[in-house]
Amino acid sequence: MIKVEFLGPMSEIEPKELKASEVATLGDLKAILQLDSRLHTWLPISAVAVNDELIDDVGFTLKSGDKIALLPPVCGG
Amino acid sequence: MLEIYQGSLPTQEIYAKWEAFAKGEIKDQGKQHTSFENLERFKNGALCVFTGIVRAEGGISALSFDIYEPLLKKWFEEWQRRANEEFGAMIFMTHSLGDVPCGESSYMCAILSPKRRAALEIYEEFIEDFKANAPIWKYDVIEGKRIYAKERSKALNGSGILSDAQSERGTTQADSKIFQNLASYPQSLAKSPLFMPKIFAFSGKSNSGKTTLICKLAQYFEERGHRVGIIKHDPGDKAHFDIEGKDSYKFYQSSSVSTLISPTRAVIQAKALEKSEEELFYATLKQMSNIHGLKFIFVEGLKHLPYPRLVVTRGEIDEDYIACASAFAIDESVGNADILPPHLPTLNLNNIEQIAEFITQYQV
Repeated sequence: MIKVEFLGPMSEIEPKELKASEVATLGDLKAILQLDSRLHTWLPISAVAVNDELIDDVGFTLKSGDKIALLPPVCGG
Repeated sequence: MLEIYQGSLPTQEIYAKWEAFAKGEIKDQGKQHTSFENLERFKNGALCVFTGIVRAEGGISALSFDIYEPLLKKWFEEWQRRANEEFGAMIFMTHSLGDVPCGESSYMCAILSPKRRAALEIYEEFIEDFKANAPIWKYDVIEGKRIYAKERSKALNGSGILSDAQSERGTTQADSKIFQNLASYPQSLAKSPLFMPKIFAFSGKSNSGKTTLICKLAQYFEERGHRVGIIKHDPGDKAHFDIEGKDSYKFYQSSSVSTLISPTRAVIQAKALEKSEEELFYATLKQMSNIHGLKFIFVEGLKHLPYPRLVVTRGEIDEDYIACASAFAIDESVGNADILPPHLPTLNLNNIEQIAEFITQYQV
């Protein structure tokens, strides 16, 4: 299983659990998330963390047990 | 030390705690950050405190915050480690979770360091990087409703990789900033000019005065308190450091890396093994920056590396060097200076101050 969480203002979207066989890379995840209309405005402005490490390569390989988080624009302070 | 509070920060209580820490009255519990061996009791001359207060504007009654703690901790610990290793400084930070009414404080940070100057330098960089990279989300609370402060937020590095909608980038204030700084997190920190030595390369034929110039520049900067590192290329493998039969020589022969530590220096000799010269160069660069918090690294030779480069020439200018040069340093013996393209700065090889100024000001 690969768990996908939506953080901050996206957190009303429930986390998704995907089979590792369906999402070999972040590119596969991209294809799945693009089908969810609630994410349309968020995807272009959100960063992706895999196991709490920000990743900027859509070819990044995923494995079972990975924890993915989508992070929209931030503003601390 | 990083702490998250539910609601408004008890600012005075937090300050009292940090001050106690500065006086050495509280010991690090060793949980939230790395060790502080560089932090000695009563050696700290500066504690720079920043407090962020919630402003009443746009009809809000409060601000509200969400935090993704695992990433915030990683980001913070990296800052803490570098500030401690390189400046003997310590960073404190607290942030609110949930609602903070107008007039109350939601963010406090402080830099504790032996010297005021380091504290002030870290202070500014740290707060800027916090604004751009800390995984915290802000909401305006208006008539009891929580509204995401999208326009004031900044997209993190690498945002938009799960989208094809390129054109939507730049719709928030954030995005414009982020794509100027594509360093991937948490390497954004490594890119901070506060921690990165400025690398400048030097080329020129043998006997051009290259070595003399590099030594004079290093001395010039060292005298002004800026530590300098030098990396020399030895394409002919001619340099000798060791005497056959000595223990250090035997250790080097029998291992991959041998190091000699004495009261005055450390000497590291690493065999190339299968690594290319370029790979060895980058590995060395990383080590050098880690050891002393250098302000400059001068590279002698290695013409193909993409660094700003000063070509040192006496006598005749060799056209082959023009392509790799950011500037030329020549003296009065050069007869064909007219072959240099007009956009290339030409410096006086004997004017160290001018060359030092050029290197200091040079922007890549």
